[in-house]
Amino acid sequence: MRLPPSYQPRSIGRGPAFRPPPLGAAARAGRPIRALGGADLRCGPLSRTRFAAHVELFAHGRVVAIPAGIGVAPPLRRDGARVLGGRCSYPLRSSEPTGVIEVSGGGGRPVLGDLFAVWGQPLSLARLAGFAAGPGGVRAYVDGHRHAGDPRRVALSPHAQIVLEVGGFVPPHPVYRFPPGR
Amino acid sequence: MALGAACAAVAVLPASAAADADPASDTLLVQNVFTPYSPQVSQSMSKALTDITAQAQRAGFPIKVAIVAGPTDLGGVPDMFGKPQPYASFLASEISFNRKQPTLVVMPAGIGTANIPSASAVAGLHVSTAGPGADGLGQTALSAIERLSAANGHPVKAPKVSSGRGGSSGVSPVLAFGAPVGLIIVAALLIGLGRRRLPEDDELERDETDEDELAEQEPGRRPEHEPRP
Repeated sequence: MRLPPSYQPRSIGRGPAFRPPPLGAAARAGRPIRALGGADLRCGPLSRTRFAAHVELFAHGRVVAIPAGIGVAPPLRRDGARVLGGRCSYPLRSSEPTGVIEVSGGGGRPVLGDLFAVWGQPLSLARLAGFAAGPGGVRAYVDGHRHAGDPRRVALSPHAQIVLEVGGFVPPHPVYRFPPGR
Repeated sequence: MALGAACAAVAVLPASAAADADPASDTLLVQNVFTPYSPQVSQSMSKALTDITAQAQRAGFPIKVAIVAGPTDLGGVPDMFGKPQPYASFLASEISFNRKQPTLVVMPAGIGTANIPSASAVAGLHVSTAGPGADGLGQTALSAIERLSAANGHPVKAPKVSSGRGGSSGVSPVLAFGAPVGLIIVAALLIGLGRRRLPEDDELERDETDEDELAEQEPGRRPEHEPRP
C-alpha cells in the first residue's frame, strides 16, 4: 500500500492548553466582538452557512483541539460531539470538533484573527492560543503553502485548509475533503 | 477484508509528516462512535452504536468505532479510503494519547482493528453495504463489536435497530434511485398509452402535458439527506 508522504498520525497533546474551551467571556455573554477590520461581529439567530474552511493547530508537534461550539453562546443544544445551536450564533462558528469553521452572514471576508477573537484565544506572531511561539514565531500555511506575515490576516476563504504551528515543524496538509453542503 | 497486524500497517506510514485532519480522530476524543457524513446512518442505528459501545465500556471492553462510508469522512487523509486496516492503526495512534485505544474501523472495503486482542474474531465477517443509508455498515459494526467483546471475555449484545424509523438521513437506495426510475417508467407508459388513444389533433397538447409531468418528476433529482444530527 502506498500513501501520500504527508500521512503520519499525530495525537493531541496533554494538558489543558491543548484543549482550549470553545468560548471566551464576550462570546459566552453574546456581546459584539470587534473584527480585525473594525466591524462588529454580532451574535444573532443561526443563519445559513455561506462556506466553510478547515483549521488545524499544532504546538510542539502535538494537536491542539479545536472544540465544537466556538461562536455559539450558551445554553448549547448538543447531539453527542455536535453543537446544534445555542442562544445565538456569531458569523464564525464550529459545530463539530473537527476544525471545520462555518462562515455565515452577509458579505465580507473574515480572517483568522476574527475567528480567534470570537473563540477568545490569543493569536499573533508571538502567540498561538495558550502557547508562546518562541523565536520562530507562529507559522501559518494555507493549502500547504507558507503564509508570511501576521497569521491573524490569513483569510478564511471557501474550503481553505489552514494550519497554524508553533514549535517543531509539522508538515501541513494541503487539502481537506469537506462534508457535503459545507 | 483487510485484517492484519497493526504494526504492519504502521510500518507503511512514512515517518516524515503529519496528520490530524480526519474528522473521526477529533470526534472520537469526545465520544465513542464516528458515523459517516454521507450516506449517513439512521438515528436508530446511531443510537444502537452509542448504546453498544457504552455497554461494552461498562462490561470492561472500551472501544472506539469509526464507520467510514466515503473519502469525505476522512477529511485530509482521503487516500485512506478503502484501506480499513491501515486507517484503524492510523486512527488509533491519533486517539491513543493517554492509553492505547481499542479501535474498530468499518468501511465498505472491510474491517480494520487496532489495539484489540483476538481481532481474528471478526475475520470472515461480511461487510454489509445495504441501506437505508449506511446502516449496513453500522450493522456490521454491531456484529463486529459482539464478536470482539465475546472473544475478549466481555460479551455484549447488540441492541435491536428499528428499521425505517427515526432515520434522519438514511435514505434507502431503493427510494433514492428506484423511485425516480419507477416514475419515469410510469410516465413513459402513460405517454405511450396517450399517443395510442388520442386523436391526432390532441396529440401535441397531450405530449406537452406529459413533458410537464416529467419535468415535475425530475427523474435525475436525488432526494437530499437531511442535516446531520
